[in-house]
Amino acid sequence: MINPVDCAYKIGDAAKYFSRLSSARRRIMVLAEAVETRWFENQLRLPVSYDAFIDVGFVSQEHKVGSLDMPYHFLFNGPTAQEERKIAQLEDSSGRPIAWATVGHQTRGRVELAAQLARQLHPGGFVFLPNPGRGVRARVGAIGPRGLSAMLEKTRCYVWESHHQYDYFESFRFLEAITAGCLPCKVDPQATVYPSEIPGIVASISELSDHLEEKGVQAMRRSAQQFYLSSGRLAHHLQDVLTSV
Amino acid sequence: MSEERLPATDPRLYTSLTRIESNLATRYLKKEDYWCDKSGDGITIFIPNYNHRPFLPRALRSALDALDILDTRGVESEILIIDDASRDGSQRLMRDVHALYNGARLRVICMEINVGQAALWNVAMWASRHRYLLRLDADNEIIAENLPIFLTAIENTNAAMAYGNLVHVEHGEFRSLISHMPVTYELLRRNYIDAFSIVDVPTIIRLGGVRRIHPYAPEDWELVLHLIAEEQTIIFVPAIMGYYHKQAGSASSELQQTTSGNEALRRVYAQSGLRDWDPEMVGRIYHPDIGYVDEW
Repeated sequence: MINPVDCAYKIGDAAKYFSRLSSARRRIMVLAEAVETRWFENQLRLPVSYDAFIDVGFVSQEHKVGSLDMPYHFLFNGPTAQEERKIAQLEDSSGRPIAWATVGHQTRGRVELAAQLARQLHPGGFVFLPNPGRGVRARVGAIGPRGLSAMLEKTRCYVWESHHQYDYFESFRFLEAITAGCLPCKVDPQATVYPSEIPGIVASISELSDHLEEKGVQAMRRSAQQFYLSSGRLAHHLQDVLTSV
Repeated sequence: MSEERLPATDPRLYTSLTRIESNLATRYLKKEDYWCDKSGDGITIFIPNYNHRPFLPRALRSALDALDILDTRGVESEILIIDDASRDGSQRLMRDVHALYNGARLRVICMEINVGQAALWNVAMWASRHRYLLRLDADNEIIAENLPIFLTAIENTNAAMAYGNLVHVEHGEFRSLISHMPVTYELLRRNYIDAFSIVDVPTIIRLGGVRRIHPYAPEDWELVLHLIAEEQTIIFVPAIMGYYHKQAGSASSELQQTTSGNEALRRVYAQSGLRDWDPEMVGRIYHPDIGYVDEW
């Protein structure tokens, strides 16, 4: 069950949903979020128990997860065969018209990020920071997955910042960028706490600007691409996890 | 003898009286006195000014930079500053500015009496020499390099209005974004789209121009709701249009704290409580390098 809270919300009839879910022979909860957040805690408060928790991402959170009443498994969010093929067909992105993009719900930090990107990198970036709760749900004016993908295919650098203070790498943001031929870049003042092999994590916009000037967006993107393609396919990692669940 | 302490008067009363006077003043404004042929396909940057002398140079600098950017792309443009009978000596500054930049590039109009924001916006549309008009309040700044993005967006979509993110700056800090979301039902509850936007002048004039329907109801909010009611397309462009410098105690801050104006707008545009307009028809997200990026 991927993201049970959202499933219950979207299905509408939560009681029926949990009843059906409880009748399943085995239940595995799959999440991709920081384990310190209240969103993660909310997933554990639902009236259903699980046989295992699979944490999808680039960095294991086992040491941070604390005591759970189910076994923890880390699943590296590697590429699928289809994504590998898509990445192999990508062309040089340095001539793309949009210098950078940042998308997410609005926080003070993200407003600062967008303003600094406009001042230090290029004024003409793509900015969509709607109020929390908007931007992803139907009929409230949203950029959906197709729109996001179309935008990233015209963009050189996809920049984001977490909406919380915990050190967590959003692997799906990386995936969205890299499969669209866009350079993924996370900005976190605590950049040094992340494993050094994950590319594109910078402490500030000025650091990103320096890297882009020194190496160029194309070389940086290739480096990120190489990291991703050399990390093993999602299917293989999943197989390993499922054999131990 | 001790000085008698008078009870504090609600400052909104003065604002209300001023607005009523302004609405009466609009009766004396004649379209033919200001009308210019709108044969230009370019854009007029309209800067309304009322007692914003200290901030006007910043807005004007950004507008002049925008004109330079448009020049390099072969887009015709002009700046139109209209002073609403300021009392802070703004006219002296405007005379100097006019002397420096006189000609097709910059025009100045000084009102003899204060007519208010709505009337001033209408005068700007009458006096504009171009199809499109960007309203840039005298205390705000446009990001010059980004103006072509917004101009292309409104041209490509034939929208009545195009707007984009404004970075709200206060005490030198970036506080929030406004004008940052497409048109949604939330507009019936509160206005999040500022007047700092581009409008298609012939369309707005055809639909009756800008009106202040209540002393406390902001004219920019009313315009957006009116365009929705008329099923005109309003485009949110996901780029940064400029900086919104919020001054403490500004007229807009006072208006936002009132509820009677908001109720007046809801009575006109959502009286029955029914949402009989479809945001899908009017509120779209568009970027000229991508196309429509919204999904419904």
